[in-house]
Amino acid sequence: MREYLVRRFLLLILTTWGVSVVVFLIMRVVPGDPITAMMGEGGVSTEQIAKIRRDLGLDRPLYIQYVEWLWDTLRLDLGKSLWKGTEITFELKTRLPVTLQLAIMSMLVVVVVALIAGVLSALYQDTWVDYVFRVFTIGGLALPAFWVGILVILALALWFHWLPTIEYVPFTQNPRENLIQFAFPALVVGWRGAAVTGRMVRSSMLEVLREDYIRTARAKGLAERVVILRHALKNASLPVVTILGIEMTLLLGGVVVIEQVFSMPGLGRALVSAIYYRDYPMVQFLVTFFALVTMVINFLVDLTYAWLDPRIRYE
Amino acid sequence: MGMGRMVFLGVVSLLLGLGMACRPAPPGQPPTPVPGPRLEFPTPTPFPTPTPLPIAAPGAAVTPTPAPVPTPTPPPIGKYGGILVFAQERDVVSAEITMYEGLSYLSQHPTRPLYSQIVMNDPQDAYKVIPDLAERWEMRPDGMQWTFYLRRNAVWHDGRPVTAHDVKFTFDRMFNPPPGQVRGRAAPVIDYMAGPESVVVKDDHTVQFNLKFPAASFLALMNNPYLVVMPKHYVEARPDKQVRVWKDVIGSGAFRVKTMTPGSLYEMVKFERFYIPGRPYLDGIKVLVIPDPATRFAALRARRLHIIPQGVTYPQAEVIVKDLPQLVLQRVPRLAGDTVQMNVTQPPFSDPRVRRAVALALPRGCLKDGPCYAVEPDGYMGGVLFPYGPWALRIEDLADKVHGYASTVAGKEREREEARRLLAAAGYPHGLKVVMDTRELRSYIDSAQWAIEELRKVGIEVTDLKIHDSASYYELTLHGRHRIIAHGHAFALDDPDLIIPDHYMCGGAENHPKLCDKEIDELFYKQQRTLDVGERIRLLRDLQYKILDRDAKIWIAWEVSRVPHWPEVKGWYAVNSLYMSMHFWDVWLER
Repeated sequence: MREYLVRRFLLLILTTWGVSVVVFLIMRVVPGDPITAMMGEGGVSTEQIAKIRRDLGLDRPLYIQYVEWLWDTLRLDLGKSLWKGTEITFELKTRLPVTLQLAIMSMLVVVVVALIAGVLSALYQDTWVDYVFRVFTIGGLALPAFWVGILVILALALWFHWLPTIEYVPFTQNPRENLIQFAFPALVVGWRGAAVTGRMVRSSMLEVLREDYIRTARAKGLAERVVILRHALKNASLPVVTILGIEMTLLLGGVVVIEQVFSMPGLGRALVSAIYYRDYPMVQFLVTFFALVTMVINFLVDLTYAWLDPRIRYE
Repeated sequence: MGMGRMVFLGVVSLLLGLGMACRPAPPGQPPTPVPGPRLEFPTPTPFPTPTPLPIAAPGAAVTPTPAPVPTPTPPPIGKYGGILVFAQERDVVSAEITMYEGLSYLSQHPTRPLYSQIVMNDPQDAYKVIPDLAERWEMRPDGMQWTFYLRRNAVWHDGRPVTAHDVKFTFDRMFNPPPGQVRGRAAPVIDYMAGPESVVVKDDHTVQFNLKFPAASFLALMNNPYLVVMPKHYVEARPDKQVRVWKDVIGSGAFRVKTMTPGSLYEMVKFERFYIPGRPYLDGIKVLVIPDPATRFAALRARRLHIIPQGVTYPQAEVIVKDLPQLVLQRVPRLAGDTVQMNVTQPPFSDPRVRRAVALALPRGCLKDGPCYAVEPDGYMGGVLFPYGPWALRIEDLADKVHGYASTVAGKEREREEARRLLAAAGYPHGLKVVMDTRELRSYIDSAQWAIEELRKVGIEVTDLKIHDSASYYELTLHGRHRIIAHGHAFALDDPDLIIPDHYMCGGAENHPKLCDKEIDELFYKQQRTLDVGERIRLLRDLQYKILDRDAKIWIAWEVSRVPHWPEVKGWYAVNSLYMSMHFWDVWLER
């Protein structure tokens, strides 16, 4: 097991480094750079552009620029946004809590809704409960989150003449306002995840409920609640955990879009904006960071398998 | 049918019904190209008659400008208190609004209330220059020297006094920008000076500008809403000699920085030691960042915003007029418009006949008896300069008099016929195929799609519309690799010395057609030095006709600002520039 952990850890470092190289090169290959992006609102001459490139060190060879960035990052000096001049650590400090809270609340929606709805749907297969669940899941899969988000906002504004607070309110400052603010985007993002995961819960449960050991559990007189929760659900959860791992990484993508719609100042929006403006240090850091988070989630999911199914051993 | 199935069908129907019921008008959808009834606003704000000329120009060469009376403290007519909330779609780019970085309104709008200018525009008249930091000024009779006398009670947000050294420092930076910066929209005024030595500090509260020539537009360009005075002591003490990050700003404006949450909020509070006693009325201002236009509009409806100063789209204005009569909608002609531009250095547009064909094919604004420009149905006809300003050719100078400016359906059809004939003469008897480029902004794409339809009517087929993001689009146009583009422009203020060099002269930064014509350049320099207003207007008319004759930048329509706000917002007036009216010290909330 220890050897496996060490191997995974080294692979994680190598992959992160690979991602940083690829992102660095892609950003330099796409047409336009931070200076031309800044010209989007007005004109600057070619001579002026050359001066700014020189001033910002963007005229130096690529390998020097990369090595310098890597060295600074390893020393936790993330540098400044080329576009806005703010420290990247400042952006990270203010934006990470938003993305983190949104991801956690969305994940809660996914897990709670998927488990409850999936189990009920399996237990009441082909009844109206099941039909409602299926409509819910088809809706979640078919309707893009950004569209649902816009509808939610319009519905609140048109019918209730009300919207949640738009400027970000930290939980520590006003927990009630903060939870109301995050509830709508979390529900919108969570809907898709809940739909996918719920369908998996339902099909796994249907499979497990037909197993002999469930019949045995019932035959020996166990309460239905114990049969479902302890015997059926735990055994049905292995594929669900896989899906949850994938959903968690997809959620990061969903959060990027929904932050835009609900005006939430998270890392997703910072990334979109940084790519748009070719803000090299910001994009390099954020993509590498998101890649690292994705790999850590996958790693944790792999470890969870072993906990759920003792037969699984990593060599 | 069983109970379960009935419930199932019921739920499905309910969901579909809900979906249909709350389906919004898709944001940013291009307006229908079909000529339809024009939007009738119930109480249309009349477009202004041509405004009085800037005070620098009339008789400037012969008599010194009378020293304006210092602004008396106006009696408090507004109500004190309240936080004004407005929104914009993205973060502040840079608080260095005197430099190129801060040239977007995204930077200028939240930053301007923090700073002061030397002079500023009257809140209700973009052309009338009134005192700001300078309580009065005078011009030497030859028009080559201007002296500004600064207020003695103006202080920076850190308590230090504002002095003439700060003014000189601000101009020195424009001559020699700090590393990573180049001159921006505030800088054209320095073209009238020989160098930093032209700005002389006479004493702590007197600063003198020595010009290379008597510049008719000097005072007008000093009124540039990007030209804010920077604190010398503070900027010089900073390691990079810049104040790029908004939260670091120390200004002398009516408001000072309270807090900043990137991507969400820029919050200012009243500066108690502001130099106009009794101002500002507001306790503070919040600028929210709301990227999605539909969300922004919904926030206004839900009263989460007081005002959207950058304005709303035509379809949103329609919604306001029809469904939200309780909102105030200020409509004024705007210093902005949509264009189609042809690169004169690239075939086939290097051939003047092809350019003329394009100019003839595209309608301008509304036809009297036909359709309007579909993208901005309330947009209006105009030429090279803002048609409602003092310098421009009037609509009556253009309509049916200049090629492309037919004002009726029959006239336009005759122009299309002429366009076909010119194309045939240029070697394209069976039509011409071209690729068009544009930027990924909704308004640019809409203009491009509209132009494509119009060009098709004379046999010019756009085979591909390439939509670029900002960075790659400007890479393309900067190096002149484009042929024909759909592009929008907005100006900080209406002055030929600000607009013409950038847009129509050799090497101009926004001269995307790459036009370079000595005759145009010479005529520009001549009018720049002409202090007699009548003569200058005559020269400018010649210049505009010459530019129109080159058929390089076609103004499809000039735009209208449609600024909605709740009635409790008082003292805020939309003027022609998107960048003016953002000082906020005389704005109040009625309740």
